[in-house]
Amino acid sequence: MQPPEHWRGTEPVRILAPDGTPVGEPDVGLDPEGLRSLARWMVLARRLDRECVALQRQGELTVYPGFEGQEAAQVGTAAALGPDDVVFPTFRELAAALVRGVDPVRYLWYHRGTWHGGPYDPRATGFGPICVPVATQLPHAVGHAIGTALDGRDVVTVGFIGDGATSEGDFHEAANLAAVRRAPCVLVVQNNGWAISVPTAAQTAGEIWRRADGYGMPGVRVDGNDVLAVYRVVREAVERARRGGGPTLIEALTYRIGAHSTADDAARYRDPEEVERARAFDPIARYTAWLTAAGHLDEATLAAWEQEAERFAGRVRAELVEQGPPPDAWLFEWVYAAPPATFEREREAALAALGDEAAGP
Amino acid sequence: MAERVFPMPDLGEGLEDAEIVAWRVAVGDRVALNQPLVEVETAKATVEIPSPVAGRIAALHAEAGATVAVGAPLVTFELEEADAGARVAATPPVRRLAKELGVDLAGVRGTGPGGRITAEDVRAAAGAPSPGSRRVPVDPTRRRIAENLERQAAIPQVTTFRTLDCSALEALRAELRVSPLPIVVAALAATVRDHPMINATWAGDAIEVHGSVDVGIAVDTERGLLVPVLRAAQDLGIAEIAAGIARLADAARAGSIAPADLTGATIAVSNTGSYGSEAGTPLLAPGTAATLALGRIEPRPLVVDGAVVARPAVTLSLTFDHRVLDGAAAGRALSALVERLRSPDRLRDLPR
Repeated sequence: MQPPEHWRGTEPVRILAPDGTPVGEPDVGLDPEGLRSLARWMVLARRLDRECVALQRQGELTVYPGFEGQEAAQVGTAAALGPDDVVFPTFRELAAALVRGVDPVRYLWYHRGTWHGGPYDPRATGFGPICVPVATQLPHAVGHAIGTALDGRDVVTVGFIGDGATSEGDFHEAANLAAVRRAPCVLVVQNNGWAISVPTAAQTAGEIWRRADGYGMPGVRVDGNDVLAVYRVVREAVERARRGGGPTLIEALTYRIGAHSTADDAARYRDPEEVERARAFDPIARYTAWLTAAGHLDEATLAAWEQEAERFAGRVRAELVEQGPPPDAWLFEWVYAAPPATFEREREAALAALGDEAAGP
Repeated sequence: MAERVFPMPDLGEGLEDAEIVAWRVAVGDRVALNQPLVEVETAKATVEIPSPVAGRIAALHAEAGATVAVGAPLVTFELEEADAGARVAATPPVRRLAKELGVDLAGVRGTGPGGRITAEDVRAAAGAPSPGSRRVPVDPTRRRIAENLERQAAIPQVTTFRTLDCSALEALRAELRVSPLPIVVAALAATVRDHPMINATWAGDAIEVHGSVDVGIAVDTERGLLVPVLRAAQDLGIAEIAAGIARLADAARAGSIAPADLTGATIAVSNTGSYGSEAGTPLLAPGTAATLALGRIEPRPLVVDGAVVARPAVTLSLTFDHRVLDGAAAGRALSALVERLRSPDRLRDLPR
């Protein structure tokens, strides 16, 4: 089995080999129920992800960035957090959002062209708004962490980014500030090998986790398709941050099975054989193989999860589709606290032309 | 059998059309939800479109090789009845309203764009009258007034009342050609000499008893209630007081009043009679321990020398800060004011 190109170099922290054989200590402090829930979330998330791609193809979502292949990196990270901890996502963390309790229907409204950032409540869910501009959420995450520390609150903040975002200035500013202020945060890079059409090798010459040393914080490279390893590494980083030990940079090696989003065709820039090779490192198959061998999972339970996932995807579809198109008036809502007259005139003219009801929510 | 036309979706971000590469289904086929229908090629990608519904293919609207515009018909389905009824289009606020009013959206016919159920549709279904209510935004003046009132309302304050026979007052005002208000202000300033505690401010660890009678005059303006301050009323004659009140009220109504003229009242007067009220229970104006309300002067049956007679009369209400004044002290002050205002001799003593 040939691992993806960008996994070369330093061996990552790993508990389960790609075939599910333990190569490290599988006791990460979870009871069998906790261990099973990691697998269940991954099954639900993958099924929903595929439904979302179909919904975009059917005109129900405007555009959708799939996360297939990255379930372990997201579920493992989200599950390792405490109830009051806060996540600042990119635009590809639906799996993490599910685990954190975000309503997927409200999350997906964003992809129906409704509210910027998604209309779920970031405070109630501890899950920040969907952030499309690359890397901008990382300074937000570090600022949030510094703020909670100043407030004396027991909160650890996780900022997700991708490999491409590590080339942005915002990454440097956030990482440097986090380390120098010993902010209680964890910066999780999901290195999935591709920044849209740019492979990691064309993105960065070094290994991303090593940059932590330059900033003066611990760096960890973890097999992002090994949910147990991700859980353990993130858990340790979160506990260190909670004790006042400052931030950690984690590079989770994973692989983007699908296109960057439904708006591009990966076959035009990526060899489809590379994808087939990467499927051998599938996070769900690896983990369920170990769970089964360890006696924590049987076929009936796995089949029940798959049925549950089917119903779950159907419910999300039904609730999304029945929303209808967003009212035209929403184009103009939440732009200004006190709209200037020019904006009001533009709004009136546009709504009159569209013949839509003028009332927002 | 209900039909549903499935238009060509925008498969990228802002694409205009797509070319049919190959159909995966034929007319008459039964298809499942998400079963591949057709492979199309856009400017960005070649993609397979999954079926948005379960049903039977009634029509395919383009041949392989044809280009179909986004939004143009691609496939027409015949739907199972259950599926046909499953799509109810309504925005989230409308759904919330339906829940609040207990309306089942499945039974509501939508009159909005594309058959969408509107808030009006839901209200009509609920039998609820369309409300004429509206939300008026709070401007900064209104907000400041509200904040002041909330602060003032927290002060322990009570109001005491006296009816005033206005015969003498009416005679004097006719003679001087002024309204009753400047005379009442002059009489109030004179009353402070014997009752200094009504011209005071509660300062937490002390009571500040003021040397100057700076009278706040409540003025109704388009922007709401303002209380400009007439300074050193104890040194002014009735004519000067009348001119001062007119100047301050005009400036307040014109919006040209200086902020300094709106602060520092040591006592206040509200002429609730100017808008027809018989009597008022004013809240204390900020910084004052006593605020007097003056009702409408009108003929009332009063008992004079044991007989009921019609006399011009008014109710005076004195709201006082109970931390500064006890009820007896406030009652004595109000009685002193009333005695001064009903006595022709004592009215004549006021500086003109």
